[in-house]
Amino acid sequence: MTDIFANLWLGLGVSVEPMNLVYCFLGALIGTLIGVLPGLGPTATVALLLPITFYLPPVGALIMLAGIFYGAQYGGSTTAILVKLPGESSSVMTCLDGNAMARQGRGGVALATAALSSLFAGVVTTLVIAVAGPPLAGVALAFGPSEYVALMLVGLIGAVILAHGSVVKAVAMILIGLLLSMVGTDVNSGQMRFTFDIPQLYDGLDFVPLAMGLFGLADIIINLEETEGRGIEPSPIHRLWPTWADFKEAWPAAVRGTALGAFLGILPGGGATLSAFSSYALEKKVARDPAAFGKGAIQGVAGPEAANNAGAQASFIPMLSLGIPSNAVMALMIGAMMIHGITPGPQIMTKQPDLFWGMIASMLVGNVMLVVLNLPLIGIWVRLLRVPYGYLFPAILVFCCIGTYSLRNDVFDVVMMAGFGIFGYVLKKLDCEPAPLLLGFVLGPLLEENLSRSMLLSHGDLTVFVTRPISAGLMAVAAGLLALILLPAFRRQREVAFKE
Amino acid sequence: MTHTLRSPQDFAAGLLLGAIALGGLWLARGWEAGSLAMMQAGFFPRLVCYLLLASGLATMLRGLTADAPATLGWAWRPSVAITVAVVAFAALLDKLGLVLAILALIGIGGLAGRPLRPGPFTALWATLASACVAIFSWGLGLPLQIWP
Repeated sequence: MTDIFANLWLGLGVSVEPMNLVYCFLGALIGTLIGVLPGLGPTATVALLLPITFYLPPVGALIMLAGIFYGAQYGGSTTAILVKLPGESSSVMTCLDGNAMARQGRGGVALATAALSSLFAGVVTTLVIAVAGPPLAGVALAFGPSEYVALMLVGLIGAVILAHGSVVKAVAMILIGLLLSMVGTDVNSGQMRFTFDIPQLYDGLDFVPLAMGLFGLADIIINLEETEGRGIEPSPIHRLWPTWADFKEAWPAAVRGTALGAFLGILPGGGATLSAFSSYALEKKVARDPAAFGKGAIQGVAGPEAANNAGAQASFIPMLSLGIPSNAVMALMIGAMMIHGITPGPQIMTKQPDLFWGMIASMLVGNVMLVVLNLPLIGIWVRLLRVPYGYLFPAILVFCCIGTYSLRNDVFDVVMMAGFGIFGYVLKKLDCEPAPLLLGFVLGPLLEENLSRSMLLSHGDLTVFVTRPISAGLMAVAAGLLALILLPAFRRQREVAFKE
Repeated sequence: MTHTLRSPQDFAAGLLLGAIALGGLWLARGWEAGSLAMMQAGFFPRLVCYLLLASGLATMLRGLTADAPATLGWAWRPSVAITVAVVAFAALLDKLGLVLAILALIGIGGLAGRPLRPGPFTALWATLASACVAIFSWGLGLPLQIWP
């Protein structure tokens, strides 16, 4: 125990060095500013800003990158709440209730809740990483392919539970997401799948044009249709700060979200998205009034926001200790470390303790700095909502287009986005929800790879999923969730919950 | 079961899902599937397409048996204007540069709602164009063509 505090103390010493504080602050500031642009999620932001850090010393560079990452995450939540544009998959859940709150004039409350939940989750998870990181790296190692498959099934079934309307349609949306994730070159055989001989598709579809089309463009069309061209009226802002009642409703959700996120984030591949989805499902399950979800329930913001921050941060554990990137951002971080001559892996904790613990302690500093930086800005962000829709939607269009273009400097992605916009509108007309589709899309490649690997290892024996203990436990959870959906009593309750 | 469609929405959704599944199966027809123990590139796509086909059929069946609101409706003006605007932006960006591509984007896109008057429109165009140039070209150093 004393070891851990000695280590953290060493780390804090490194991270509060004046220059490192400056890097942390700059990272969080630039990260927020870029991340708040619709369409630029954390991955794009980190990728765009990566070159800046090449000129810094290694510790400073990593601290600044971590700051950029938190800033971009928080900036992404801001756009999710204000204009319902998730910059990345982990803020899809924040859109639902966060944007509903903003439309009721409670945008400031939603933003403050998101910031405070993220801060809480960030601080707790940092301590969790410090205490449990090294031993937990061992548990994550016990995860084989069949455990991954079981875990992903739990996540996908969770997505079905929280989708509106028909269960069959939600399953179908996941399947379409899986199909879309197969576009590109098959990693094992080199077989081109669903590429239609278009070179831009050889590397697969990107998340950003898909999410921007399905959420951004389709939403503009729907808003204009429902209001006959006038657009949504900005609702008057009642207050910026959460009341005591809000606070009392939000904090248990934030605690549960943090626990879920810290747990799921450690698993490589689990990460922020699955944490946010699971947390939303959990909150809806334990809420006294599940009908309020989707219509501005504060728990629906606090839970997923805490969970995605905790999950994102916990995903540093497999990255730093095993060298396994659990998502695209972590892959970029590993790339940056390599450029500075650092090889992530188990030896990093013992060989370069100042770097390892400095980075962990800077997470603490970075999270605090982010809130200090952002709470005063909430008033400015919320004022964006007062802009009439006639001005706002062309601006959203411009940022969607240019954000998508900036991914690869290719107009092909912009055309893809237009196509997904129409597809999203069709889905809305047919009462199908795009959120499960996105989860299927994100988990697709991992699911396919692990399914085929576990079957290869077991020689095609499907019982492997129930004979290995961790996998059997997860499968039991999945089966339980599935039974819940199919039980008539729960079905009725669920239908009531979604009645508008 | 009656002969009339009780829920055109579900029926249409089922048709769409079924069509996507069949299209996927057709595209995947030449890919090797392998076996459960030795999955090849065609295995997972086929598995997903069959499941999708099943859920499409189930949804169509629901369209025949369960009641639902009949109106589908399609907002031609916003959907066409937004799509054409984005495609026009994509077509013009590399040829005429960012400033004019944004003009086309918000000019055509504006028709989706109630178009702005010339004064506010020009102000919006100038603001968005200069913000984009400042952030993306100068700030982030993207190789963007700004003028024709």
